[in-house]
Amino acid sequence: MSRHISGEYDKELDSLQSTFTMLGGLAEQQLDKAMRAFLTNDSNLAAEVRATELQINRHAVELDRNATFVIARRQPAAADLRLVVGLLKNSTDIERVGDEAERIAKLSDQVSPYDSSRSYHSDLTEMHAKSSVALRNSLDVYARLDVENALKTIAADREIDELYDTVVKLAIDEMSKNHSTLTDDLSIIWVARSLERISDHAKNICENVVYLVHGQTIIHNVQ
Amino acid sequence: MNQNDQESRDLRRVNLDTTLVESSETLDPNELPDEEICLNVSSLSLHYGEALALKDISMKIPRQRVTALIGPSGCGKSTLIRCFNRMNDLIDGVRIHGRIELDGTEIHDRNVDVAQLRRQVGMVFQRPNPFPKSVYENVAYGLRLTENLPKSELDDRVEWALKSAALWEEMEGRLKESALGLSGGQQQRLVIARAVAVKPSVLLLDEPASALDPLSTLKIEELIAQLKSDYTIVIVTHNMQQAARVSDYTSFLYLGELIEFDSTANIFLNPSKQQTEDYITGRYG
Ligand SMILES: Nc1ncnc2c1ncn2[C@@H]1O[C@H](COP(=O)(O)OP(=O)(O)O)[C@@H](O)[C@H]1O
Ligand SMILES: [Mg+2]
Repeated sequence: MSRHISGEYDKELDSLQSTFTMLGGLAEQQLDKAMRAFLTNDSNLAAEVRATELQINRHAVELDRNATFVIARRQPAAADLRLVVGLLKNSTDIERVGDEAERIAKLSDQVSPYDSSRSYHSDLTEMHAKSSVALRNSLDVYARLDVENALKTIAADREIDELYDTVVKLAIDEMSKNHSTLTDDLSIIWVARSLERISDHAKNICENVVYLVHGQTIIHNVQ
Repeated sequence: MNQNDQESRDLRRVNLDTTLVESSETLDPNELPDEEICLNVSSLSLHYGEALALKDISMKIPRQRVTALIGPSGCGKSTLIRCFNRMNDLIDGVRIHGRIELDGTEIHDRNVDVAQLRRQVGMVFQRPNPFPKSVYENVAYGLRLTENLPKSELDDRVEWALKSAALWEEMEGRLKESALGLSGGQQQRLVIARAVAVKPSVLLLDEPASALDPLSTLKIEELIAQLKSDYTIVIVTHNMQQAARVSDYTSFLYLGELIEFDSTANIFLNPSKQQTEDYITGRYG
């Protein structure tokens, strides 16, 4: 889109966007590190995730404040307004992705070393891979305002939901068979729950992008 | 205005996936569902001498709603609003083509009494222009010309008009004072009271708040919100936020053309024309 008459306004919007891009990058790293910490029982990495989480929250608060100030100062309209509102919504989603990553990192400190011979291993790994892709895609979709890819990513969320159901079922089976690993199997359900939520946030971001581009809201949980 | 921008806009609109809902369909200015039409403008063109100032404008202005006319300076907002009570008749060299119906009656018809039309369609300008008379006489002025009311009824009507203009509380004890001693905001509300006193059906406001301070502006906007339950209001404003705040419908004019007419929500959230978007987002070069 062409530039505003006010160059300052353009700069303000650009700066909001770049803060968001940085936040998105951090959230991706967090998910990656948290899963590694969980799968390898690495407590140093888990501690790193917790430290970065504070940073993400601080940036998210700053972004909200700046975006709100742009609204007060510029009274954006039409596509500009949708951009700022979309940014506010997206920053909430990204911040929650960070929360979920932190949750996974915390679990890694509470359980015994992860056992990759368990029945849910391959589905959990696939879930991790797919939710990372969803998160990455959602950030791409936002950076490029790519509606086509947004709709694809929204549709792919169903697969992650199905994987989640499978992992939960397998973990429950494990629990009923072997009571000695109850805590560990339960933690798998929590991890899967977090991955499922992360991909929901990715989906929200994609929906926001559709709104941003078309000025129309897509129905949530469309079948 | 970039032709490609508009084309890609149109494409984006057409290619919407079926999962999209809450479509904010653009209003056809000739179809206003659920609205009674007060002013019906069709194919209106206006020349000042050789200069074409309004080009083939068609729009319907709904009754008891606020319709805002926005657009860059010189695009024809004042010219258009002046058409609605034939104020342009007073300007030499003006030629008008097309139709304007007020409640179904063509206002250019030979048997239309122009003085009567201007009472029915009152007008308020940018600069408050009270007469150098008392507050009371300012409001009573039009009534004295048209209605021969006994003193007590005249008093009542002045009080009513001042109340309508949210001015009674401030003016009750100052009716005999000169209107020229009032603040700008009070003067503007007094002028609105004067227009309202003769019980018009339409109020035309040409940048009514642009000479006022922010608080007086808010009072005028509040007044507009109250008046719309009784009057059809057309407001010209160069303040887009004001249009967004006070109006139900918005028309965007550019170089004498009506570019887009739609509900104010659609215009400010998702206009369908690139030119409108560029203007309201401050991208006009
Ligand atoms: N009395 C007039 N005589 C000749 N040209 C006029 C007159 N009034 C306005 N115009 C011209 O008509 C165009 C529209 O003016 P106007 O309706 O005042 O625009 P706006 O109110 O949108 O600023 C401008 O080009 C202006 O110069
Ligand atoms: Mg004007």
